[in-house]
Amino acid sequence: MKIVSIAILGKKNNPLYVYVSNEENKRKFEYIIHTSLDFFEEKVPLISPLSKKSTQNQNDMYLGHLFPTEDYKVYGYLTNTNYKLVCIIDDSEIKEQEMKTLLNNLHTILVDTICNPFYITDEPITSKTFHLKILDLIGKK
Amino acid sequence: MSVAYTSFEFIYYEYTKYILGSISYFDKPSTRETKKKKPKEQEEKKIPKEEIKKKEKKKEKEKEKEKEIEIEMEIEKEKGKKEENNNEKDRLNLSKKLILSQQRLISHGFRIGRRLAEMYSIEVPRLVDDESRLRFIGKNFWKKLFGKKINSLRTNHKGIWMLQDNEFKLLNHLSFPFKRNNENQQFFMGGMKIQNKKKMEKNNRLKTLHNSEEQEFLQRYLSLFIGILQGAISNLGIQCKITINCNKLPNCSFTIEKITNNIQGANLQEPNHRKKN
Repeated sequence: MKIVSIAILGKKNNPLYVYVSNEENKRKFEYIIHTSLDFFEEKVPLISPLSKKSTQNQNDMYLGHLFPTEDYKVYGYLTNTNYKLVCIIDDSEIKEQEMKTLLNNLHTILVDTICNPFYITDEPITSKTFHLKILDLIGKK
Repeated sequence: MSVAYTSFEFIYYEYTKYILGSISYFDKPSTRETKKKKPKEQEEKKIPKEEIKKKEKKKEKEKEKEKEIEIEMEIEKEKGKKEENNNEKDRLNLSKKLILSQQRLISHGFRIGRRLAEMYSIEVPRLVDDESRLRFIGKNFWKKLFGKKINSLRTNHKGIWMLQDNEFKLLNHLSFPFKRNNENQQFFMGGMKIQNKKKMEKNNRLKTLHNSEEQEFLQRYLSLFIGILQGAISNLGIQCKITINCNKLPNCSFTIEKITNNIQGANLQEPNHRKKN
């Protein structure tokens, strides 16, 4: 399983952080992230508040019809404060629990950077520690 | 657990003191600048009085009294005019400073509330409606800050909510040193814990805020907390106005009004601290 890219989007759908494993295909993955925004809005009203694991918002986008040569899976995560986390994966064999743990850890790392008083909200994240923490997350899997 | 909550109160008191302490409530505006002018005015007035008294004593005594009274009236009028002008200027300066300090506190609280909301919203499942968001604030948010929940939450179903807390912790140990009209100076305690709880409870609930000065003081004291609430609620997606009503001190009610037009709510953004004002 290879995590191809991770992205964090703010309230107004502005990109705060984008990580891509292959920098050659960066624009392709940015385009995929942009198209995934519509799916966030579609799936929000369907989820009921009673379900325990309702913080997750799974997107399974099989982009076979756009990219017939390649297969990607896109997973999304919406926080209560309207931050959107997107994760793109290359392989198809993934357990849901692994994704949930990955995105929960991402959320905690995000909160740590936001609580930094020198960080101005709604601006791209440029701290090195944040980058290193995400690399540790990806390196483990 | 108890240590964490008292530390928030401690920080709150000291922070507001630091910003509000630059403006002292106990110095009257007239005493600051007129102290320098009083000795000069007295020297100028002594001379004409003595000359006039010597001249009038020679002539007649009734005219002396009348003229002295007239001169004193004129001098008092002149004094009064000068003091009025100084008082007006001082009052305007004070009011500007207080408004600026209040705005500073609200902006600082906005940043704090925004980050607190994020920290505390991880543990809670998805908040879908506005009602669920305010319940989150009423229960989870308040419990983490103050160790207790809100006593009542009311809605108008048209965009107005009211949170009521019967014992607001930030107002527990507050006293007002302001003088009341036609009464001796009294100290107004709210929520002190004494052995006779029942008596104090009755007394506390009967005591109300009479002066407008006390209400203004309360609003400035709680402006940081208003900013915290605004930051937390706006981060969850609701842009709002918050007002406080405290008629009986430990009771406190917050009214939250939702702003629907984007034009009005455009000003509620986090201030950029890069630019030096």
